[in-house]
Amino acid sequence: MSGSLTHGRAEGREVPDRYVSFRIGSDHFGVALERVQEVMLDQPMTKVPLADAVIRGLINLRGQVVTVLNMRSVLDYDDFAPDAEPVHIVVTHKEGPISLCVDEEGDYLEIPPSRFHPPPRTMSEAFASRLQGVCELPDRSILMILDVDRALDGAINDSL
Amino acid sequence: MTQLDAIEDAEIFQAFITEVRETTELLGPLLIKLEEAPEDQEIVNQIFRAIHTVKGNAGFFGFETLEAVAHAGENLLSGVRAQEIVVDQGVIDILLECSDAIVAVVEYIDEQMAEPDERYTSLRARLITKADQGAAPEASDQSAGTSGAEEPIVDGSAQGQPSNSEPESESDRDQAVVNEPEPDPRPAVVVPTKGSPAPKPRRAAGDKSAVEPTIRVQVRLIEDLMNQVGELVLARNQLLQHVDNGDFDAIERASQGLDHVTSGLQENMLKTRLQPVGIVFGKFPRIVRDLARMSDKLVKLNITGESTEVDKTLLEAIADPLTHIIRNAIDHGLEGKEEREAAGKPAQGTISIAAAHEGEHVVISVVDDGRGIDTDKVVAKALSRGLLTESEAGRLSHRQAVNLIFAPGFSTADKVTNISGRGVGMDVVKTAVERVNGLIDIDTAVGRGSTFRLVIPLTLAIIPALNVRVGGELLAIPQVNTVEVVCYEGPQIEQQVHTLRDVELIFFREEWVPIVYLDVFLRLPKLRPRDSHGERTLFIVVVRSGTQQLGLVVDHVVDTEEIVVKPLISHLRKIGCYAGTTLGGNGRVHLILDVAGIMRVNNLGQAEPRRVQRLPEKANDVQPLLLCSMGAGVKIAVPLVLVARIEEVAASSLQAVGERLLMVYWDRLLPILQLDRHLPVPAVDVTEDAQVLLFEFGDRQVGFLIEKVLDAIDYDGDIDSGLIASDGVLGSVLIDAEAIMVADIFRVIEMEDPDWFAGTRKSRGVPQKHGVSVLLAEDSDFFRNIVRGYLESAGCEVTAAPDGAVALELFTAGAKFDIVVTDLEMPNMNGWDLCEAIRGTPAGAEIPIVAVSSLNSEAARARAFAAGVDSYVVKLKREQMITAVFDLLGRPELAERGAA
Repeated sequence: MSGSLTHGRAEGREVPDRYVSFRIGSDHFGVALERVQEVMLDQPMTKVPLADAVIRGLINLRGQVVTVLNMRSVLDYDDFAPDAEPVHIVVTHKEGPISLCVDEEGDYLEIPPSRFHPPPRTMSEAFASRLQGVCELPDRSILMILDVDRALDGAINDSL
Repeated sequence: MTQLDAIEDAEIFQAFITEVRETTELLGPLLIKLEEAPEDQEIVNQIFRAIHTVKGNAGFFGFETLEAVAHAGENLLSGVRAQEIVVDQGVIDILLECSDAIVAVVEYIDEQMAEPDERYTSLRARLITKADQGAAPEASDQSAGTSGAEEPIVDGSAQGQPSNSEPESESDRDQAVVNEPEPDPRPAVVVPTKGSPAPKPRRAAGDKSAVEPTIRVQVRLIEDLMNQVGELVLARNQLLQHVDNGDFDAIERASQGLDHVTSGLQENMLKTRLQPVGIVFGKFPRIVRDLARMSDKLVKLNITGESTEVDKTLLEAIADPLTHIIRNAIDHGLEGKEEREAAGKPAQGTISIAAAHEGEHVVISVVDDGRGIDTDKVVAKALSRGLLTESEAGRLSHRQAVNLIFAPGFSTADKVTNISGRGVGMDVVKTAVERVNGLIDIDTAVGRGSTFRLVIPLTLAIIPALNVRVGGELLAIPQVNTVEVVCYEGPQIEQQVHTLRDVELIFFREEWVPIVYLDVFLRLPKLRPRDSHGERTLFIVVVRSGTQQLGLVVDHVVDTEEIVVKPLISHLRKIGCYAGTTLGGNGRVHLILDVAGIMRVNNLGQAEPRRVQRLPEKANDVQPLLLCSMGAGVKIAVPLVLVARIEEVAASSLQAVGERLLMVYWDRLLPILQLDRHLPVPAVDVTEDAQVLLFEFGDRQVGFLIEKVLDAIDYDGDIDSGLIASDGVLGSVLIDAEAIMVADIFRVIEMEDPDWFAGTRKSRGVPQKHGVSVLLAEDSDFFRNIVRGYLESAGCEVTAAPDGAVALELFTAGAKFDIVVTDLEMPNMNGWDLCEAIRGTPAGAEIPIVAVSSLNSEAARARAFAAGVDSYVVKLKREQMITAVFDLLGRPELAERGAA
């Protein structure tokens, strides 16, 4: 995925929404910029014994304890390779900062709302419910916009 | 109406809220005092001034409702002050109501930044009437008119602590002296309360108009803090200088100075968060008064130590548990007047609440001189609820037996009849106290009363902890839970550690204490130490929670340290083993162990009820039942899911119309069904007070008359449908070795009124059939009957199967069904497999399938949709299920009729 989608402005006076994109495997995702606190490289982590697979650990972000979610596990991908160097997209959440641990960070994008489409109908409902929508990028790749709260609630508030 | 758009300075608004809050908190206790001493003019004046301040402030901000309510109250009070109105219970009652209304409006304003729609017209009218009754009309007008201009605004003493201590007592005088005089409505110093370990934002984050909550801090303390910060800067400068010079002796001296200053700073900073417990205690006289009147008991309340200070967050955390304990003391602890006199006690019971510092803790005790806790009854109750086995019961000490009341799932029968208490047990109290690292303990003697002791730390934010290393991880154990660290080496280990089957125990201080290897328990690598001879060394931290002790085997004990507690997200708290996190000196995050939680997970202390532990795999089989008494010792059970409410009814509110009973319920007439007309039960004596179980179907309601509710039970056995075979009876259940009839609510309602479920009263006879044929798969007899009832009453023809395999057989046997309704967790063939199998048949590719399950999780849902389910309904809402069925059939109009 290359280049930000600034030509949204050319389509009229529409105010584009801003997103931070990231990659898991060959898939591209976006999260709303206003939810992103910061993006950082992998760092020493405290494991939480007995926690389930979606919890990767805890890290100290300048005095704040950040809970690290393994997004590969949350979104049903295979786990990170042992030598992977994932990055942390730290987002705000009602219970405190949460890191979405992903393969690689992508670009900052501006996308006008009119370019949004609902997720394909054939997508599994459980997965689709975690998306705000999808949108096509100029290089023909598809960006899945994550609904942060739904994705997190599904992962860390589900009682099962 | 002037609203807050006009207020530019949010701080002034916050100061207004703070002041009005503090003033109104005084009102309740003062009114109670006035009731005891109606002639005391000084109390009348204090109340008058408090309410006048509220009125003045409300007027300034243009809060018309608040001003009007305060004005009406002030009007009545001016009559009292002029001694035209005699203070009696009626006056106190209406003034308390006025005070409540003021508090409610202030809370609303604080939350919403605007006044509520409720105008309190009726209350104001009654206040005015009350004032007019006592005083000549012109006198009351006059006093109301002049009072505003002449009364001084509240003075320092009235702004002091909202405790119910005498205003002239030592502590209040101190407070008045240290509080700076306030020329404007701003508090002396306002410090936002940030960084509390369990922050509960009052407003949504990002709400720019939101004002942070504030607390008052004495100016002297702020000055101390300023001085200490000055010293801190000085110490840092010295240190930097010495480091530059490389003078190690001087560096060491400067470090010591820095250490000293930091400790002092920390101590004083924590003091800014301290608040007197009187803030919470001040509410109790009112609660005790109201409860005593409701339960017709005489209660004397003693409060001491209300100036004891404790962290604001902790104070908020213990307010509800304390209230619950006091409620219980009056409800269950104190006897009625006659019973007390018969026992040779004074008719008036006494409840004493005291707070005091004990080292780094605050101890709050609630003492009653009532009947005490009868451990035999407690144990019997715990046995009947399956909380422990007979043999366990035999081994209980007195203290352990008493502590059973804290077990989840333990609630006494009388508590259930008191609707306000339903669902809130002592386990909630214990959990709330333990959440703030506190302990709760009971001392009780039958006939003499009970003492509840709450021991809570002074502050939550920083606690002393023991750092230990296990499997390479550093973990913190709160010092409040640690008893002692023991260390066994080499051959000692075999002598000291005893093995009983799969349990290891040590004999510690005359007591057998089970031990848990933390590395095994937490699934961490085994890195236990050996000395140079290859001998093992065992470090055991003996910890305690309540009366239970447990030995935690660790690899190394590192040190003790004051740690700053940071919260964990709830998902991780649910593991049950961690109380929070802290940051170590190296910047890494360390976990703080939750000792009470680890004990629970290891089946120690107040174990989870066995039933609950089995829940995950038997989720569908637990049937919540409400056990009711019908009089003459006869009990019946009804499915709790169907009961909308339980109402107390006075005999006078029931009206007989022909053979039928009606009850005035809110603004309409509720049909009351007498079960003895349809079931083999005695008639409930309608001349006595009774209870009504309220059922709601769509927008229609019907009540069942019963004597009283006895208990709510999660029944996990089978419903025997053969033993009591009668129309209107689902079957019988065995509770406490007693067979109890389970009423079939739908059938009984139909027996009373055959066209109740047909939708309209005009149509006669059975529900209108519309030919929709349903295949129902459900393994629980109970739910199968209910779901079948729902569907049949909506006019469907139902073929029911007890599991997926039978359902599939019925489906493939050629019978024609329009829709399949299935449970998910079933024996032989579960609902998911049933769906897949049906989808695989030629007839089943298109048939709509509804899953009805008590599993309410994304995963279960996803799996169901993947298996081919079209709609997913969580057990058990009639409307939802009926709507789902008819929507899928493309006939939503039938749902409306069915649900009506």
